[in-house]
Amino acid sequence: MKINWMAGLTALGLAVCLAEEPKKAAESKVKQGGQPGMVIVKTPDGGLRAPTAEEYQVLTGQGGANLRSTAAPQQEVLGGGKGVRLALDPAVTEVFSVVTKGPDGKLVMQEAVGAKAAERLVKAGAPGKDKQEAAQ
Amino acid sequence: MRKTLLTVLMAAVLLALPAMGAATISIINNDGAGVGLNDPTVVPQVGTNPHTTLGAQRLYALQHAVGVWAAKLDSSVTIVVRASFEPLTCTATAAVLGSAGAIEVFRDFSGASFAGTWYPGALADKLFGSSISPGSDDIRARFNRDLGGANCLPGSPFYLGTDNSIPSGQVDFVAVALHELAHGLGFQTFTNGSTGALFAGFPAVWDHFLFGTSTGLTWSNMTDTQRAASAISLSQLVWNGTSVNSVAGQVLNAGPNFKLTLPASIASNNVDLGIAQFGAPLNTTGVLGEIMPVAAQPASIGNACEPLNATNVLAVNGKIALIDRGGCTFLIKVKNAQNAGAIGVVIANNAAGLLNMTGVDATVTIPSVMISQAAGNALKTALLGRSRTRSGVFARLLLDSTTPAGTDNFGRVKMYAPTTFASGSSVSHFDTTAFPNLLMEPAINVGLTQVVDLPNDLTFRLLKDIGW
Repeated sequence: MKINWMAGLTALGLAVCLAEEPKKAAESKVKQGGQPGMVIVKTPDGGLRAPTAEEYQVLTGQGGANLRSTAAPQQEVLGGGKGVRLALDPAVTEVFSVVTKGPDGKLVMQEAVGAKAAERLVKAGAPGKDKQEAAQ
Repeated sequence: MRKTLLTVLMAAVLLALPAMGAATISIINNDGAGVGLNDPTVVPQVGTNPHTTLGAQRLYALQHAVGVWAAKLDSSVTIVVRASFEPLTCTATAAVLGSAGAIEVFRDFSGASFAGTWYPGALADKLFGSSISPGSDDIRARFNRDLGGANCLPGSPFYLGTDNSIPSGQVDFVAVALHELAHGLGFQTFTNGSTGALFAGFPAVWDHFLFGTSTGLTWSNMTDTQRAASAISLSQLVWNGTSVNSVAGQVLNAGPNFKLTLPASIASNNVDLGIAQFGAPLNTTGVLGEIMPVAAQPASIGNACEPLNATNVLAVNGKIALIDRGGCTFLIKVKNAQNAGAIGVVIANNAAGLLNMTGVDATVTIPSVMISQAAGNALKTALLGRSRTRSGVFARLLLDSTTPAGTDNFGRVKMYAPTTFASGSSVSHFDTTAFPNLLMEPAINVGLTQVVDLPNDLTFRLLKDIGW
């Protein structure tokens, strides 16, 4: 059996930027350096949960909004059964892979859509653990 | 800018050769002389990469990743990837590794499986049977050429070997490239998951398979409001494609299940669980038992927060104890139940959502899980007719191969939908409860194998669902 459910933390699978709920969340961000998209809040009874939207903003300094543009881009009707073409703006629509190094030297990779979101992740800094590490 | 025509043609011809498979993928080397894929810096040979200049090593590793995809995909139309190594955003502790995506999308072309639906260029070409937009590239892929250097995550360069033996502290380039190329091939929605707004008024082909279990609708049939809610619905967002779901059990290990077995009227799977860090790990045999609730005790600070009294001991001895969350740690509750003779514990949450339960105590040896507040309430209703020692309600706590890790009660693979929308991660990746790790989870985890199909991964199967 390959699975290690001790660790059943694998089930949540979220990398852990552990913040205590609820008042210490902001304080924890200062300690951890923030970790957008990969934040978990620890409850007083020993539980781990995802942050609320407000906590997420406090911990990461971002609201998690999708930067993908919904403004109407230029659509071009093609002939010959080719339908409609639309050129994408790569700075807005591309998926960016971002890596951050934590104080323990471990690398954690995350994704962002659009250059601005990726840049925010880079500037936010320190990661937590990936789900495998959290399970050990 | 793309290089000169001559360069482009030479690159396309030369670079396509190693990637020949069921489909042909050409790499357009978009780097200038002396940089990126053309960097002449002499470097030590690494892994199974035979080259000894940085540019050639990069190209070889990229070709390796492209070759993995080319061998799986089926298309009569050459897929063109415009690739480069460029300076991308960096700090000493974080860096953009790379980015990729479709360059164009198409809808309502001949051969499209769904009308009024955006397809990425490479997939549209395959379905159309020839290049819809001749002369245009399909995927743009950029990678950070400064990675590992001063001020750009120093000491953590790309590992350019293709042997999947990544040294600690380095970044597996092949895994990154495989992942990003998958996005470019169509492993993503173009719909705004935060607002639910369709991209330029039409759904992506992805949206026809993204299914909200609470609404019973695919994203293509939801309103903007429903989509936005679905994007943050945790375990209620699944993939509804048969290519993926029919083989999920061949890739994913048995998952945790609180399986109600009797009475038949309530028999069901319950895979939405919080898992305990302490106690016996679940196994495939599991613990089968009758469920009995722990009743409130006088002057208690919380359900099962103190040693159980005689009445509760009589009720839970040899049974699976049902305990409400609140008042003390999960560890204390489980230990008290164990001391009363319980063989397992189910904690019913007292709020929305689920928690994994942490704590360390080697003397706790029974398994425990958390169920949602709603599931707890339903279970309590089923227990209303119990006596002081019997309920007639039985369940098994186990790792269940019929509900693989990362699937829902019906064996559908879950998609990533955390309660806080994460741009780039939410909706367009497999859920992180999948185990073993999958290539297309929101983070590239350890244990990936450079395999994109059975028996190790579901990424290619998902691409088949959308038309590949």
